[in-house]
Amino acid sequence: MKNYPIQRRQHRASNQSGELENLQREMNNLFDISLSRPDYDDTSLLGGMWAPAIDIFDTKDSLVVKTDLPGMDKNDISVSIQQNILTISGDKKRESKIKEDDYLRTERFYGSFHRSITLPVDVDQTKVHASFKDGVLELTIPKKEDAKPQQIKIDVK
Amino acid sequence: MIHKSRSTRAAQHDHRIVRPPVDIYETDKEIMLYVEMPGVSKDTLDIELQGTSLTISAFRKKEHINGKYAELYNERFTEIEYLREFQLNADIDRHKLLANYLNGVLEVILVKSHASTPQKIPIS
Repeated sequence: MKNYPIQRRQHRASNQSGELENLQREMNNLFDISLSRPDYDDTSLLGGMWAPAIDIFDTKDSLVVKTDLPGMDKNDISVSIQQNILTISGDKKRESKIKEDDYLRTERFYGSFHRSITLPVDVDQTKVHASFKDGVLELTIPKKEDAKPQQIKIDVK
Repeated sequence: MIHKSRSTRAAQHDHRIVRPPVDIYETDKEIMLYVEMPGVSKDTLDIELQGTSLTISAFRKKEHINGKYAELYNERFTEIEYLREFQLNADIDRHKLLANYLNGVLEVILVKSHASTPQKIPIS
């Protein structure tokens, strides 16, 4: 994930109450976020940073990764695995048939995003199966043979 | 048709209600909505227009994973209902309602009825 510089606000003695109100508003926003995930709200504390939400399921033979990328074209999504680091990135474009003057309300996120996750087991990156349906990207990443759980028989004497 | 309120719907189904993000565009003749609701099945999509009140909802079912699994990351919500209500600022021609679900986004195109489109008044 990209690091964004933290912007410091200028403190002015005359504006102390305004700062407090801002803080209160941001606290309220944070509570709203945590209660209403998945959210795309652009709050000032997060500074417009956006990365898609991810689920990873660890099954016996593979890792199953799911992420929501609504409104994207599958050609604009890029997935790579290098040394067990999974990277999903892409560029989300606006509907091209819409004129900018006609915007009434825009809540959806647009632009490029990038997310990297270190996978906890050795995987076979040559046999990844990827599908994109109804805005959900699903990856099935097989584990390497020696990374699979082994059953060890112990003879009790 | 009896419309259940938001709270009774949630209580009955024991699921979370999520307000999906939406882009709205308006021209002289049309109102276009793009609602992000990834992973819903088309048969759960519901669009209701009552006068100038528009309600859009859909269910997202819990996903099936083969075999036993452990959750390493769990940031997404499944088993949710997307629900959003809008008050439109124009009368809509009910017979010209168009909807299309593509890549997790529901597109709704509403055509304003003739009385709602701005009329040019000539000034002599």
